[in-house]
Amino acid sequence: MTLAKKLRAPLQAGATGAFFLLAAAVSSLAYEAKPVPAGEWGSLEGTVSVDRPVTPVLLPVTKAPEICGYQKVGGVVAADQRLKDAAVYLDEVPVGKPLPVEPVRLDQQRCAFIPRVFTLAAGQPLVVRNSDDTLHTVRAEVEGLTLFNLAMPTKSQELWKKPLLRGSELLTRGRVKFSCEAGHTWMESWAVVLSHPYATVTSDDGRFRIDDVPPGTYHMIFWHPVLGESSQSITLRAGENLRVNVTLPVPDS
Amino acid sequence: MSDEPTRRSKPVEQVSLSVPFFVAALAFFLFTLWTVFDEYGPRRTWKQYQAQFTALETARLQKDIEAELARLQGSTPADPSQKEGEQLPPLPEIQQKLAEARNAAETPEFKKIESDIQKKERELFLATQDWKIAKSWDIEHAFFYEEALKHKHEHEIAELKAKLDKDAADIARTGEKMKAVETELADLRKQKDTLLTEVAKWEELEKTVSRELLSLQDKLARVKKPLIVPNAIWYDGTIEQVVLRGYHTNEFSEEQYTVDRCMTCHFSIDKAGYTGEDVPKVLETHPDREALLGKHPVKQFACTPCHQGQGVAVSTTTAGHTDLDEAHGLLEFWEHPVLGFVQSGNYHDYKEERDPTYTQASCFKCHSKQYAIESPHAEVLNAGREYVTKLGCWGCHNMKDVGDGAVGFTGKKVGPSLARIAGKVSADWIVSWVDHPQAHLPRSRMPHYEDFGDPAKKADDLKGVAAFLLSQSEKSWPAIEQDKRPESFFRSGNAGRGEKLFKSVGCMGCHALGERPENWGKKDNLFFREFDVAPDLYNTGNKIKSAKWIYHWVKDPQSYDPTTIMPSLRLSDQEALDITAFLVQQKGKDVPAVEGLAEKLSDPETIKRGEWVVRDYGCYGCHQIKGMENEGKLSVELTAFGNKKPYELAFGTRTDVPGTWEDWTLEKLRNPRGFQTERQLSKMPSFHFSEEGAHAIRVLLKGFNAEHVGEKWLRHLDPNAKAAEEGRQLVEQFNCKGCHVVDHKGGRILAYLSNPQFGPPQLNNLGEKLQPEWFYNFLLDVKPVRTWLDLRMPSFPLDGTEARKIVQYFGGKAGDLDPFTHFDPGTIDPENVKKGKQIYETYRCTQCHFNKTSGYTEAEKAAAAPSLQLAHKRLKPEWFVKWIGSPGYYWDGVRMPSFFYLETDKNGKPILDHANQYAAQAIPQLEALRDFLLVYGREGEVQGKLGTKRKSYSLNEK
Repeated sequence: MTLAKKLRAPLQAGATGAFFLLAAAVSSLAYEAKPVPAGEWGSLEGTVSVDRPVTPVLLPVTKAPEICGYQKVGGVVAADQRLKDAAVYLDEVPVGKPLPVEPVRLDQQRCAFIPRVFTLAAGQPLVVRNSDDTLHTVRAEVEGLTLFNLAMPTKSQELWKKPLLRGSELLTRGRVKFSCEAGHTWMESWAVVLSHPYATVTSDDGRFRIDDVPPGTYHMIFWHPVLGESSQSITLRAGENLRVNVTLPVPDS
Repeated sequence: MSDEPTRRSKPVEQVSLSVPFFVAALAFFLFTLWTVFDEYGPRRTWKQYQAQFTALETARLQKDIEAELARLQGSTPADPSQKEGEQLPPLPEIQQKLAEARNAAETPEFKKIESDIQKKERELFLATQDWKIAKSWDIEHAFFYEEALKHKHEHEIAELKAKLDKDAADIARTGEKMKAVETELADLRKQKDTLLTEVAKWEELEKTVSRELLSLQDKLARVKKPLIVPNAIWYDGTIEQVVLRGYHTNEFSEEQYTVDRCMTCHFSIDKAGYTGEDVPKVLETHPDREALLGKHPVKQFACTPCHQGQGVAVSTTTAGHTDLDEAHGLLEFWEHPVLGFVQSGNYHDYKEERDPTYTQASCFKCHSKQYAIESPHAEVLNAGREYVTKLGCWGCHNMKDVGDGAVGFTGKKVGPSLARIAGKVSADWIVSWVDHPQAHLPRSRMPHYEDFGDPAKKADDLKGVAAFLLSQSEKSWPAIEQDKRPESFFRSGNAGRGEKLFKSVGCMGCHALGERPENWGKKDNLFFREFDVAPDLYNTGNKIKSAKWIYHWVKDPQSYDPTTIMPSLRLSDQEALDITAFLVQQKGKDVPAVEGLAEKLSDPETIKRGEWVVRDYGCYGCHQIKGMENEGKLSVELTAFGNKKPYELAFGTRTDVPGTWEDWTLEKLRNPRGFQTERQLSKMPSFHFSEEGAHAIRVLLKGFNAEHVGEKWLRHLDPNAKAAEEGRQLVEQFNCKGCHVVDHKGGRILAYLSNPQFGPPQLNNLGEKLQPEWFYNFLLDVKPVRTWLDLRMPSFPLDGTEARKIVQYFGGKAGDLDPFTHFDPGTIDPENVKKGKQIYETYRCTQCHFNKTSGYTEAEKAAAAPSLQLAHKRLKPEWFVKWIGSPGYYWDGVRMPSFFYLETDKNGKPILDHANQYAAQAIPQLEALRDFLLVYGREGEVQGKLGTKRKSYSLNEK
């Protein structure tokens, strides 16, 4: 056996090891954006339903009904058992399409946050608007920690919030709860913040669609403010349009 | 063989001695060389460190110079962290700016001025010529005139006189013209210079920077020059030292000298920036140098006052003992080895393991009058002091400046008074409790009964204690006696309502309820470290004999025990009945009946035995017991305990404990009776400290070294600071942090509230917030501000002096000990008030700050904030600006939103400075709001007085 042959096996093993190490290092790093190659990446679509018919909770308005109305819809909204306002997202994606840069809008209309659930990529700016002729405050909290609590005293006021920060660092992951401290206790909205753009919220008929997903195996998460979180593992092949339908259990109340 | 000695071949006189002489001279010469070498080399072990320092410093200097050179030459980008104007701009930038300025100056106007100047210069030349000619004519005519006078040429005199007059007129005329042209020219030149200022500025800068570059290049060349003689040889290795006179005084009050040479080796201890991997440990900068050495300059405090060790010694090794270290005092007979080396075995065997927290013991030498030193570098010492004070170690031990010897000692023993215990608990309960308090309350501070090796005595001892305590006690107390209602009445409350009230009104700030062992300590910040501040009430029904007692106790605790710290929550009769009914139901643990106790209670022998036990164990150290008010301290004085040598400590028969002060003390704290022998008994009970607790106490004890420190070095407290220090003890004692978050710590009760927004206000920066007068009156007569809360601020048993101390404590934290706020409506600008009102309306302040002080509806409670009508009485004027500017900074997660998006500095503190663009916009609005709110609610009082004095006080211009 020549020397070269003797060395080959360990060298190969070493190279493979190094490759895996490198791959592991890359995956633990932040999200890497790439241009979308035509036809090679797939998409995900489907429906989120609940396992039995539910009626939404009607929250009583305790303050300023002339501005806010008398009732607000809360709880689980699912017409024909198709769940509205569920966040659907992939758990960890190392590489993918460019991050969105256009701001996400959060409106306060007749003392309700619209939308009730939305997704936000890390660094994406958020604009909060007050469409009511009353004082609202926007408190953003993550795991009990207040990110900010800002007043919006005038009608049509818009607040350009730069990307969400936690302390001085960019918030890259977490569920941010928005609430109003001006006595509108029923007002609530949630933002799912992720380091990548593969996230969406179900429409009125419970449908969702996520485009331009690189092929691979992912952890797919479905989350609703009342029903909580459930997840499932999916494998997407190149160019595939994968259908994922899930049914979330409604706990006995 | 002949007896005659053989003659030498050469007579002695003729033998040459040059070789021995040469050898001797050579040896002498070599010895001289060696002496010099040894003196400057091996004997000066510290020299290597100084040489290392020089090498390090040179390398750093070279790096700095090169960086600055590169920057000035424009080859590296500017450091963005440096503000413009703080450093010289790079040369290429200057040259570019200069060229730009020159271009900019080339305007038609400028050209016209330049041509005007040329014209005027010509004009000036001509005018000067005219003037000079007139002067010459004058001189000539004067000469002829004088000649004519001398020779009496009468006919010429008159003619020449006329000419002279004409000359004078000519000179004046031409002179004036010349002056006029000169002025015009100067004016033009000035105009030109003005146009060229920018150019001149950059020219000047160019010169400066070029000079700077040359000088830097010169410096660099010098730094880079190779050394002919290496540093290690060249340096003579001077000994650096600081001499303090009078830091120590001896037993006869004579001043001693302290000579510290530590900086001979620790050469850069007081120089910034010597940290990092390239710096050897000996050369490292002092940790947190700015804070620690800033307040304690090396020249004034030297080293050994804090660190100990042998200051004069400069050798760290001694022949034969590689680890025997003179400079650090790690010697058999040096009494104060450097703090922080953990000693083990004997003096020849120091572990290299270091524990820097020991150094905190030294803080106590000068700061002993302070209850706590507000520095992260004194936390262990502070904790030790808190343990010793709150556990009542001072009940048995005398300690200078600690416990009952401390500034601001409140005179309250740590345990409840037993003067009226007969009406409170049963004899059975006393026996069960004294036997093992931890079986009832795992976090109780009370130590359990321990016999002296004879268990048979225990039952009799405990019966005796119960009998004695009941016999010395008053059988009843006035409040109970005057109330003739039957016991059944006090059990008639509504327990359900009582429970709700108990859990919402504020009891849980200090008391737990049914947190049995499995739940202890789950929430942070609950109690005083690992101990309770007040008992868990899960077993009140079994403990307290009568409902009537509970009722009167919760209504007015001081009526039972005037020294108790339990405050009144101003409960109504019905509320007190409900809470009583609830507490009576709390029966979490059976109290066993003690056999044969009842008949022993009145037995004089048993009572006598009990009295002996109580006296012998020193129960009066923590409890007030009748007849024992004037007992002395039971145990040894600890004032100089830190100085004890291992041979002065009783190790008994223990061989498993290393023979050091540190190990003995730790073992004594963990297992107080561990060193006792058959003949030498220990009485000290077990307190069940945590490891951290035992160490913290040990560090404090290490600080008890009774050193005679000179007056100049002691931290003296002025009357205000003293009052503040006393206030701190009161705040600790009354457990304000059980409910309030103070300095971002505390707030135990928040864990029990469904919504932290319904918790009490956070008291961070309270001294900046409240007007002292209002605060003082509030403490003495609590009239809640946030009346929509279920929680109530209790009425504490404070007298005026104590209330003032608390006010001063918070004031001192804010650097403001002035007890008065001065409101002068004359200084308030009425325009500002109007503007403030507008902002107040635009921002809809009333949407949460309702204009009422009581009667909030459920819906209003969700948003309620204090009435602004009260603000002018409560809040300091500056507070309005700070608070409205950024409420979240002063109260974590407060409901009040921020209306002004101020920037924050690197510590998260909002920037309120006109130089900042956001602040510059916000400050006028904040000040308008402030002025409006200062007037709001007292419009009648200020009618017609506004704005009669100077403009209102503004931020940043004091």
